[in-house]
Amino acid sequence: MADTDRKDRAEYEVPLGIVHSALLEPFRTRLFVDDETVVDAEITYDSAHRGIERIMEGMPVQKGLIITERICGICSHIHLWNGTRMVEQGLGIEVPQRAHHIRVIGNELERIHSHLLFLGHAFEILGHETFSMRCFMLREPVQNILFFLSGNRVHYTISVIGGIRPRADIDKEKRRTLLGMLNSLEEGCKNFANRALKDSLIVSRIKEIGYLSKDDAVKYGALGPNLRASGVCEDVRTRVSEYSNFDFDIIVYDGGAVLDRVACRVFEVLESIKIIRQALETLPDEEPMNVDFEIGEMGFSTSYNEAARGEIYDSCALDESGRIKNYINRTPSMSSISAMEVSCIGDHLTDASLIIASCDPCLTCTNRITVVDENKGREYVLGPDEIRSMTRRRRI
Amino acid sequence: MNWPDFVLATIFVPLIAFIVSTWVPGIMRKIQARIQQRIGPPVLMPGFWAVLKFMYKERIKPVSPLPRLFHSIPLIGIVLMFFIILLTNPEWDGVLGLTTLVALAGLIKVEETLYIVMGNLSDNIMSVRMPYPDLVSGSVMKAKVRRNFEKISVTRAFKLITVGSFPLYLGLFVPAVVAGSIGIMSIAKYQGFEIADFTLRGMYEMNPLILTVPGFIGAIAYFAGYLVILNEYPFSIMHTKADVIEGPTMEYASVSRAGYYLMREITMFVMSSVFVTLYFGIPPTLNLAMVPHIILAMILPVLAAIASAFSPVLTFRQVYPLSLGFSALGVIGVIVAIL
Repeated sequence: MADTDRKDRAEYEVPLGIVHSALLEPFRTRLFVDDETVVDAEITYDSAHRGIERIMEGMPVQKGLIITERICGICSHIHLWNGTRMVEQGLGIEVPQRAHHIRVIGNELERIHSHLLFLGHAFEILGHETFSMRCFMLREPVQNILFFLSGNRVHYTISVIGGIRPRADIDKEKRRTLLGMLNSLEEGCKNFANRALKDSLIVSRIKEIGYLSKDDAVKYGALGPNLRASGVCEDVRTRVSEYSNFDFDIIVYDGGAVLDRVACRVFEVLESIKIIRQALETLPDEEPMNVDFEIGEMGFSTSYNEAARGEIYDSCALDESGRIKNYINRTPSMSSISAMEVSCIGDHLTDASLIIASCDPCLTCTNRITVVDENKGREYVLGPDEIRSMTRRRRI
Repeated sequence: MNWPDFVLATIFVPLIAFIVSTWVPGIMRKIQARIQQRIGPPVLMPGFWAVLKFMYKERIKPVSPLPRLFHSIPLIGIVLMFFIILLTNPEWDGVLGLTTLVALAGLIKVEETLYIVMGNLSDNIMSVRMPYPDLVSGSVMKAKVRRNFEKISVTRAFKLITVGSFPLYLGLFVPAVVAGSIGIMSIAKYQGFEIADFTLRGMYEMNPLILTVPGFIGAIAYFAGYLVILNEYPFSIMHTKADVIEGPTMEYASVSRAGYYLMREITMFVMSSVFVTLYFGIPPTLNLAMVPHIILAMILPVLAAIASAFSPVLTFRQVYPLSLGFSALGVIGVIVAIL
């Protein structure tokens, strides 16, 4: 629909946020509404800028990488892993297979707890407190497993350059316990999936709303489960060598609605459990850490990986003393949120916040793209296309 | 009319309703918590201690064009509910010809309308009253009229009044059709209630309407309407947290919030009490009948708690067909009653 037509149809504007009970993190949504039907939406997310990439500039790489973990409290492991992986690739450091397995286990556990957190939040927005609570009850054992594995419930710090931290290593006893914990988790997740996706009231709320077509998903750069729920079979894990030893299915739905995004994540949880089980069962018997390397000058290196929310990208260079130059971290929420601007058009106002939340936005990950032009004294936010082009040109 | 009994009933029936109603939210929250495998709050916490707590909070001036009227709406709601329970009291039978279902329906309608007044008298700071216009650079639609959450809730309240609560009114009139009278006491007497010789043993000899086919169908319709009147899940779109947060009651704080809590919990009890009077034939009265009345009046809050624990908030896409379905059920109840 042309912009002018939409403008004519919009009766009034409803601003949600920056602080709002439906939003876990600060972002501002302007919904343009005609009799409670959204005709246009505008999402602005620039309220939690922390300047993490700037902080990392000039830091020793080992120290700097720990900060990548602080980008997010939910997907902290993947930030650290992908940053570490980028440096290892750039410097040609060999990593033991055992460490790869444990890093994969960490990432999949993180995916499970991230998806369950999403489901808990989605049901909370739906107003279904019981299912929301049930999701958090399912998530609690995952947090316990992560604590058991790494010693922390959040910010696990599993990966270090060359391997993993010794405390995150998995001995035989730990492996047996973890497998037992996974069995009960899988049973709980299956029961929940069976119950939630067959509840007619819930399905009536999430079916056929927030439609994001395959073309729009690609056009606006939706990533991860949001892209796969629109019928695009794309998962970075298929291209990440660490995952090549594991057999798993890529969950793809072609409905493009909130129901599909929810279902996609529910079944990805079961796939993640499958991957963890394989990783535990085939864990190589060797040292999990290679200490035979030197940090020195490194050219521009990049690494891609699949976080819970989609593709994550890290890149940087190191100077001759191993200090970070031009660190870039791009997270999936940025473009997925943009896609949600389109997908809430035509739906009820109450559904809009659910639709936006259905892309599982993570603002602490994303809010690092405000540009402050000191010379001209102005501040502006870059769109996804500008970000992509500037990333290619290495201007940020 | 027996004047001493009339005066005593006028004072004590609302007082008992008030005391019992402070337990109702706690019972509901406890049931929901148990369903969610939580311990839940102490039973008196949400309905009594929370109200007391709000009374001692700092008083905040609401953003409202008519703050005094805005503050007094919960009080009006409470008084309306007291009137409703008095109209179902045997001592009030025949007073000014008010003790009919028509008067009852009228007062409930006024109670529903209060939310529209509330919303129109409130302008919270979260939307239109921003200190500067938030016109993001590059926006397609600059300078659109911004509507605050309360005004959106008012539209929703209006839709609920016109469509949502229809099953409740059908549920009110099914007993009238069965009993052949719109008099509340006539309906109770039709089911075998006699104020003078009411005993617990005699209660077993009554013929409550809910045990008949039209009565049962009407009770289901009444229950759906009860959820709508209370804005309880799944019909809580008027104050859903996903967009309008608290809706019309957003600006109520401290004493006013306490007043709103009281209005809500008294509505919970009184509407349930009306149900017991019409469908079990036991009105609220100052004798032994009050005990079974109070116990039976807990049925609807308990069912509401269970229903809301297993329901999401429904949008009008679901509310309209659901309401239509329950209304159809109410009409079937009326038809069966006529037959």
